[in-house]
Amino acid sequence: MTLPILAFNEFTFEFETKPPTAPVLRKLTLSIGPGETLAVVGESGSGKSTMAYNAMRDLGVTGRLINGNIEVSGIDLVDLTPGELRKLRGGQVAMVPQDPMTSLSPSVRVGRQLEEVLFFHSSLKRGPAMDEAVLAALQMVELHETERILRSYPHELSGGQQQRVLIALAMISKPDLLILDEPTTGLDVTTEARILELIGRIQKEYGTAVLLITHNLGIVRQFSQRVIVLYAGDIVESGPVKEILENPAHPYTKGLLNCIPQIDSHLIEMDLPTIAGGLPDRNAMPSGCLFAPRCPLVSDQCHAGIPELKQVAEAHHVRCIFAEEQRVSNQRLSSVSSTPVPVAADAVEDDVLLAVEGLAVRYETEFGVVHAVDGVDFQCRRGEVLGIVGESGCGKSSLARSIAGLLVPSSGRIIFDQQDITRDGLQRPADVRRRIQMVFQNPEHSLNPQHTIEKCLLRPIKLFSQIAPENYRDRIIELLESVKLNSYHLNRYPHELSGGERQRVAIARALAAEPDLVICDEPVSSLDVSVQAGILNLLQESQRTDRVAFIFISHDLNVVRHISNRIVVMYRGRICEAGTTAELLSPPYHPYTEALLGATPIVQSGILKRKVNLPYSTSKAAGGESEGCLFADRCPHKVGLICESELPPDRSLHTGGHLFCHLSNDQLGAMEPIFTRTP
Amino acid sequence: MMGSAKWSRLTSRQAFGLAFGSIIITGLIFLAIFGRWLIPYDVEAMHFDHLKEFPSSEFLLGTDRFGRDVLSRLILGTSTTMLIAGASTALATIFGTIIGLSSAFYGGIFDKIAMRVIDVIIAFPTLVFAMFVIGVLGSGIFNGIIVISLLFTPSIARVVRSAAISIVVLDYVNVARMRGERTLYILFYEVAPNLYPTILVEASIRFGMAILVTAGLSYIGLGPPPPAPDWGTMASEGRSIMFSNPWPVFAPSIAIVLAVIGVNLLGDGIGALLVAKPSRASGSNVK
Repeated sequence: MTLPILAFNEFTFEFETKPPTAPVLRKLTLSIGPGETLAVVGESGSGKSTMAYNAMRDLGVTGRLINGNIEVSGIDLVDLTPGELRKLRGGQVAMVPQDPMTSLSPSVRVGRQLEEVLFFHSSLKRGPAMDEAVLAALQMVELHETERILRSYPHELSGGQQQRVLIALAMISKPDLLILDEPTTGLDVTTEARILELIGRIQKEYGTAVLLITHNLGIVRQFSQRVIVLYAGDIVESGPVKEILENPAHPYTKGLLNCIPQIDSHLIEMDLPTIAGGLPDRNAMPSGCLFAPRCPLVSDQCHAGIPELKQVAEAHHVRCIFAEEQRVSNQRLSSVSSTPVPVAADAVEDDVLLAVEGLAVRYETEFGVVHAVDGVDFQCRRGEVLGIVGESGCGKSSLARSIAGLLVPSSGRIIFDQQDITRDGLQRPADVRRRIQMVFQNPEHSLNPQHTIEKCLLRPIKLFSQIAPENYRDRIIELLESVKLNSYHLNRYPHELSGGERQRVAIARALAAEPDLVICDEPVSSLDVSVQAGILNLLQESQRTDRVAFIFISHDLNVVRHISNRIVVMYRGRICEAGTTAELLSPPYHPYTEALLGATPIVQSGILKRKVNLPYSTSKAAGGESEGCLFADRCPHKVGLICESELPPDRSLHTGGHLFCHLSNDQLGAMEPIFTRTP
Repeated sequence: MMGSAKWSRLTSRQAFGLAFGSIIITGLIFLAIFGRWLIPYDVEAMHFDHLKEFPSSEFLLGTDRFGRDVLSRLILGTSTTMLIAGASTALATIFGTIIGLSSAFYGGIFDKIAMRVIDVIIAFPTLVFAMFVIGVLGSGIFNGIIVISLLFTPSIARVVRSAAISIVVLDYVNVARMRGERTLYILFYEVAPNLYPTILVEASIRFGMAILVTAGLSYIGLGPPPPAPDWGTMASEGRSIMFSNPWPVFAPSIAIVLAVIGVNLLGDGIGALLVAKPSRASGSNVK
């Protein structure tokens, strides 16, 4: 038997705190063989990153090893001297960190950073041999303008290019083990798909073992052979990817899989199942199974002690006393019953609530004028969820801010309930300000850390509602309950709440004004999948009960199609395609929509996805003043010169929607669907 | 319940500092108000048989070269020193905060003009600027306060502006704008509370410097006119013969150090009490 590249043996690790808390990783045992890809999934706080850093023996300032050891190719890392560790890190073991912008040194040219790795980890001296090695590394990660990139500083590259440079930095010393810590979280889906493909190819070529840390189960399915589910520092389930995704046996794994919107969930109109609660408090760990407080199957036996990992199928281990029955049962587990709810489309009325006409937002920068939004038209009906989807830099945030009145558009009109409101929020009538509310991406930034939750909800009630002051408190509690929080939270400060709870408060604050339209700018992007599902349910519920219309902006097509009645797809400031969710998900596609769908990782089994090859985006910024189609430079279906010289016509293939493309209706109609069900 | 939650925001170091700082500052305020009835000797009385003496049971902190009791002068000096330093720091903090916050919030041309004016004031050497203003206004305690607050407003404004600039772009400020809140509400209810620690720490540093600037002004004859002795003046007067007669320099120097430490500890402690969670802008992200 060959030695594993990486092995954790009974590894227990804690951070020294006052008062002492439970270990962050508990008796962790795992191994990765040569060339193998092991994925580690779990909610944030489950110990994934701690584990990754430990694989390089980076303990942090307060980290302390309690028990066990880590071996890399049979060498125990615990015994290594600082000098030996330095040789190991970046040499035998390399890491691609999460955020490329903060992981590359901003004041050192890319070429220099690559040379540095070789300087420390190879016998090469500066000179032609080293130059060649650096060039080879860039070519390996498909960076072609090598000369320019070597001379660039990191900020001169796009996000995808930066991430590829980081991969080159990690791979240039030909490591045995590559650790990927959420390698694509900050990237657009189309870039993400390309990067994952690239890593897969390099891994095959060099036989590198990969430890992949991610929260995205779609990536796991596509990319790895084995998977470990980590919960509060414990392995709760491990085994081959196919086995785990198709026959999950631990209630937690089942929960995680269920909260991801299914590919056809917009047709079923169901609430998403959620996992109640959050990770256990490290100051007060449950005595028995750590998942018991959140588990729908919990029974008295569960509190007797932490269950041991047991084998339920070949190489499939589960830490649950009910594992065997659960593995074979296909019952969907959830703490909320996923009962079909009234079809949300009923809530949509025919009259137009918001109309955006020829809206454009231009920014003057030192490099010239940037067209963030370039002539966008759409309408949102009363009670409708309108999804706006697009990658970073497509202008969706500028659009949201214009509608919200935080930004005055350069041209175009915004009509809200037949009034022209194309101006700064302060100049709008107070009633319009009440009726349009916004929920932001990061609740950490949208709630004032110095205000209690009560104070935060009180203000909009005071300003906008007709309630008598003595009833303010009742109204606040009612609002909190409508977002599944309670009066306990009144006197809390935002930092005492979890990310999901904070976002609920932000939603409650928007609803406090009794709005007609709520603009949600990436409202679930900073949240775990388990929390995300709860927020999506909440939004749908207020659409149904309060007849609130939502403009739901996201880069995640999975989420958008779950919640939206209609979807608008934007690319570099312009609309490519708009139509109902069902129309958008089936052919004819705009080539960009096709690419987005093709790049979206799918977890669900029994769905075949057609691959779409899309070149990397070359531009960093939003659209310019192109006369033609802005997608032309990346379009796999490019017709010819006409794409670059003429604005694409509206093919009007969708009911009340648009599809701007030079492809003829016949060509568009001949497109194959992206998703097909396997029999 | 809320009260205990607030106290738990302090680290043990901060709690100790807060207690220590409040004792010092309360004591100094007490001396400043009631000192004139507590002094053992008249401050101007010269005891010619006790020149340049070290501490003794008769003169607890010794005497200066004119045979004046150092302890009495020190106690009486408390009120002048605390008044000038305290009032000028308070004024500078108030105006500096208002200018800094508005500069960060409005940005654009207002910000540019405010910052350039501030640059001009900061570019002047402290004493030259002080001489210029006092030359126009005349010397005295009140004018001293005006000069020092004029000197300190710019630096406080700048510190507040740079901290506020990262707050005014946050989404909770956007939410307040969308609600149609008035600028004053946004500045003082949404932005400022996040900056209290920054402002208080800056103010306590300024307080210490105000005492030193007062001394500097007195040294070149632009301070509060005699007989009101302030600590800075006492220390600088005795400086030339401090090797043969150290106590007239020691005593006020130690008093200045104690006052500055007291104000710093108090400022740090109150700052920690006032904020629910130090925001990143405050620079003290306590884990």
